[in-house]
Parts: sequence; C-alpha cells; structure tokens
Amino acid sequence: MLSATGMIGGYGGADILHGLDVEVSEKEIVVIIGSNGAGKSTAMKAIFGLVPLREGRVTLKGEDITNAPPDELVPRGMAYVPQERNIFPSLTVHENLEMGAYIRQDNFGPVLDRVYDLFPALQEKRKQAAGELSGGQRQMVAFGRALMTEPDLLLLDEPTAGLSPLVMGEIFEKIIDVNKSGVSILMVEQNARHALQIADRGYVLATGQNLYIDTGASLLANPEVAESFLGGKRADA
Amino acid sequence: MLELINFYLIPALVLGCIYALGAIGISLLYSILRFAHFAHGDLMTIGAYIAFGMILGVELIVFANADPDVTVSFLAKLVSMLPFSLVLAILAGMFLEKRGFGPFTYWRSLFTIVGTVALAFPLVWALDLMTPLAADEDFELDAEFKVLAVLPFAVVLAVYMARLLDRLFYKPFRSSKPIIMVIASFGVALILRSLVQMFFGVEDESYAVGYIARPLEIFLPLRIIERHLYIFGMTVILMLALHYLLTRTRTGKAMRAMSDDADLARVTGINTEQVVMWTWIVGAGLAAIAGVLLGMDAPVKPVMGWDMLLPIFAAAILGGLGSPYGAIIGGLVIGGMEELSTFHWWLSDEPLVPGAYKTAIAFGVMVIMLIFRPQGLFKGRVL
Repeated sequence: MLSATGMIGGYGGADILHGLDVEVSEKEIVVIIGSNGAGKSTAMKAIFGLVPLREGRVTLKGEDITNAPPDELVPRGMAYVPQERNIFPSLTVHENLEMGAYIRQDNFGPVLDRVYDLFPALQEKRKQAAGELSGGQRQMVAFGRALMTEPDLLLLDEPTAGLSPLVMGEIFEKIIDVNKSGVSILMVEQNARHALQIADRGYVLATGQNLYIDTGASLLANPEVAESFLGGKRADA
Repeated sequence: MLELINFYLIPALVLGCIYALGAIGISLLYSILRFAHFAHGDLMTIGAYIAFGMILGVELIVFANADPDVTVSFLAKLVSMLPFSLVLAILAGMFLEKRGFGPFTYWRSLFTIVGTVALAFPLVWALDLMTPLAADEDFELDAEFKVLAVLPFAVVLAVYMARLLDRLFYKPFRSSKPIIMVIASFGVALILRSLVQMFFGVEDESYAVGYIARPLEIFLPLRIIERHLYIFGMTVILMLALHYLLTRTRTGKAMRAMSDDADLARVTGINTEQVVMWTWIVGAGLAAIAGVLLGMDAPVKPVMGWDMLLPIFAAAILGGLGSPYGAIIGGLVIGGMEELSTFHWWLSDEPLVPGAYKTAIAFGVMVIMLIFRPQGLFKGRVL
C-alpha cells in the first residue's frame, strides 16, 4: 500500500527526519511511537506532502507520490486527520462531513449514512456547529470527515490526544472498526501501550530514525521498548 | 418626522445597502485570502465606469443614428459594442468549457479575442435596426432602465478584471506575508483609478444627464425615488442569493470552510484555488453592483470608490471581519449613522454633525471597535 524509504527532510532547511522508513501493507494498522520531538508527526506530514522531503521516496500502490501535494493525494485514496485544528468549527457537523466529500462528484449519500452509523452521536448533532462539540465528538467529526472519500489509507495524527480514557477507548474501537472495513491505517500515538495493542506493526522512532520495527505484540513484549517508551517495565503486557 | 424619513432615513438605507455590498467583499476576501483588499473601492469605480461606457456606446449608435446631421463611422460603432460582445464571448467560453473560467492559456485568449470581434458585428447591426425607434421623437430610454440593462454586462467584465488582477498581482504573493498583499492591493487601487482617469477623464459624469428623478408618491406622504426602490430590491435579492450560496451550495460551504481553516481545507482535498476564484467572483461582482448602484444615486467620478473604502472597512470591522452577515449589518449601521447624524434631531436648526464631518463617524466607529471589540459584533477575525 504505502512505502516510504530513506525519508530526509524537515521545515525550512532544518532536517527532522534522518533517513526514516515507513511501510504500510494492505489492511494493516501501523503505529508510530517515540518520544517528543522524535519526528513522528513530521513523518506523517512528509508522507502527506505537508513537509518537503529533501531525499527519499514515497510510493502509494506502487506509484511515486514523493512531495505530492494533498489535493493530489486525496483523490488517490489517502486521507489525513491532523492532530489539532482538524475540524471546521463554524460549519455544522453535517457540513464538515460534506466538505470531506468535496472531491467526490458522485452521490455520497450512502457513505454519509455509513459514517453516521459508525458515529451515532454525530447523527444527533448534525445541525450543530462543530466548534461547539466536546473534544471526543470533534475527533469523531474529524475522523468521519476523512472517511467521506472512502480512503484506502488513513493517516491519523494522535487521534486520542487530550481525550479522557473512556473516550479514548471508544476512538480506538472505531479505529478497529474502520480497519476491519478494509482501510489501512497509519497512526502516530502518544498512548503507546494502547496503540500497540491494536497495531499489526509498530515503528519506534528516535531522532528521526527507525529505532525498532516489529509487530505490535513483540514491541509490547520488548523490555527495552517498555522501559523507554511505555512508561516502565511491564513484562506481563 | 416625515422630513426625517423622506430625507434622512431612506437615503441612510440606500447608503447602507451600498456599503453592505462592498463590505461583504472586503470581509470574504479578508477571511479567505487573509489580506485587507485596499483596491476594493476602486473595483466599485471600475464597475460604475464600465456601465457608464456601455451606456455611452449604446447611445452613440441608437441616438446619433437617428439624427440625420450626425454621422458615426462604422469603426466607432464597432468599438463601442466591443465590451458587450466581450461579455458574450466570455459567457460562450464558459459554456463551452464546462469548468468555467480556466487559466489564461493562449488558445482561450485567442478564442475570446476572435469571438469578441466577431460578435460585435451582429450587435451593431441589431442596434442599427433600432434606429427607426429612436427617430421617433417621443422615444426616450428611461435612465434607470439603461443602467439596469447594462448592469449584468458590467458585472461580468468587472469580475473578469478582478480575476485578471488576482492572476497578475495577488497570486504571485499568495504564500507571502499578508502585508505584501495589502501593499500590492494599494498599488492595484492606484492603477485602477489611473485607468479610469485615462479613459474617461477626471470630470464628474452621470448616467442620466439632464434627467430629473421625480419621487414616486405611492404611500403619500412617504416619498421614495424610483431608483432607491431598485437599490433596495437589488440589495435584498443579492443578500438572499449570497445566503443561499454560503449555506446551500458546495462552493459556498467550501468558502466558509476555507475561511475557518485554510490549511485544513487543503488537507481535506478542497481545491483552494477554485475557492479563491469564487471569492473573487462574489466579491468583485458585488463591488461592481455597488459601484453601479452608487452611480445611479451620485455622480460617477474616478474617486467615488476610493472615498467609499473607509466606511466599507468600518462596516466590515463592525460586523466582524470574515462574517458576511456581520458585513451586511455593519454596512447598514455605518450608512445609517453617517446619514442620520446630519439630522437636526429637533435640538436646533443646525445638523447634529455638519455634513462635511459625517465620514468621521465611520472612522470613529472603526477606531472604537478596534480598541474595544476587534473581533466585531459577530465574532469575526481579529485584524
């Protein structure tokens, strides 16, 4: 599905990524974890064409998409949910979802129904301005908006940042649901332990490079990873 | 009391409508392109003068033809019909190219130029056919009718002009700091005004020379001039159309989305250049209409739009930059305050504020708003 190799790049001349590789196969959930400033979000943005790559190559379904801008990537089946400012606050929930379908020329009614099925809470608030919603509901709007193009690959930048544990669990469940419907997912998470539990594979980043690449379960079991990135030893995990 | 309504309240509403039409453009452009468009007043001027030029063109053919002592060369007639045929050529081009205005490619430009000249011939011929009508001494074209007839043409030309200006002067700076765009728009304002002065001179002109508007006395003792009814009617229709655009259409919703968060709009896959194009179409179209309506009520002169800039900005800021509905309210409030301040309010025989100072009201409101409530009445963006 997605293959990014040897990514080097960053903002305005200062490199943040130093030869990073990321790979997502069909129908996989891939999680990127790492300490603050390791370049997790930057890697995501570089893949989505928001941060320029100086070197390296990104391919989607075998086609070169290195440094392609978002408006070319969305029609190719990629969608991205930024970490913050990921909704249009003055638009209603319904309009937010419609904007997600902006590039679609066909009737997106069935997709809209499916998004409302996935997030029943949004159905109730469809006429409300998205900016008036709670943090968890906003996240659902952002998530739903990204699903409106029926993407093959969904990029989620810290989907649970700032949410209560209860809501967080709900979001993770939705991620699994979406994945089961056939969407590959690449996400960056602070909440590493929880994320790795649902991940097929995980990448541990440090200073813009790959530190560990393994299955989610093996990374959870890895004592070094546990100590540095999962907040202490927990061999039982 | 009647004096207040007939001579102050109605003109206040008329002025308010014109301010509102201009302020909507300022507000939309500010929230979507992130810069204060200083050339907006001069876009109004351009609209007013395009309409003026077109009326001259039609009169040149119809009336000069009717007078046996006057001869107008065919070339002069052809040139006078070029603006009309240019609009028709643009509309035909849009129809052929389903996607609307595209980039200015060589072939499109050639199509427009050839189409324009080709269409001018049948137009001259059609107007020549009307000559027998004009020869009749009782035949007179109503001043309002003439203006309203050329209005759609003037709007299309002004919109196209704004698109060209955007392409030449604003697009190259799209990713620069906003102040660069502001300065660029200041330059554009000077260019537009100079163009008008070059082609039409610096004198005051009028759409209806020697024509005295008699007030309609429908609801005596209320007196309202016919053109004021057109101005109200047109403004109300345009406001409803704008509301429909912003809340019901995909393009309008995308405009609101981009004004909320341009980065997110881009990430969502919204074609932001297309949204920018529609912003210019709406903003410049409304500005051109505001200019023509102002020209119906006041002299047509090269500084007419520039003089409007301050009250229009005051209206947009009062309503909250980025809030088109706020801009409408702001326009009506500023227009109302300016006109009503010159009433005596039964305090003395003198106006409350001398007429020469009424612009200061707009300035005062703007300063007070920027100090105490920079987001405006309707929660806009902070300047």
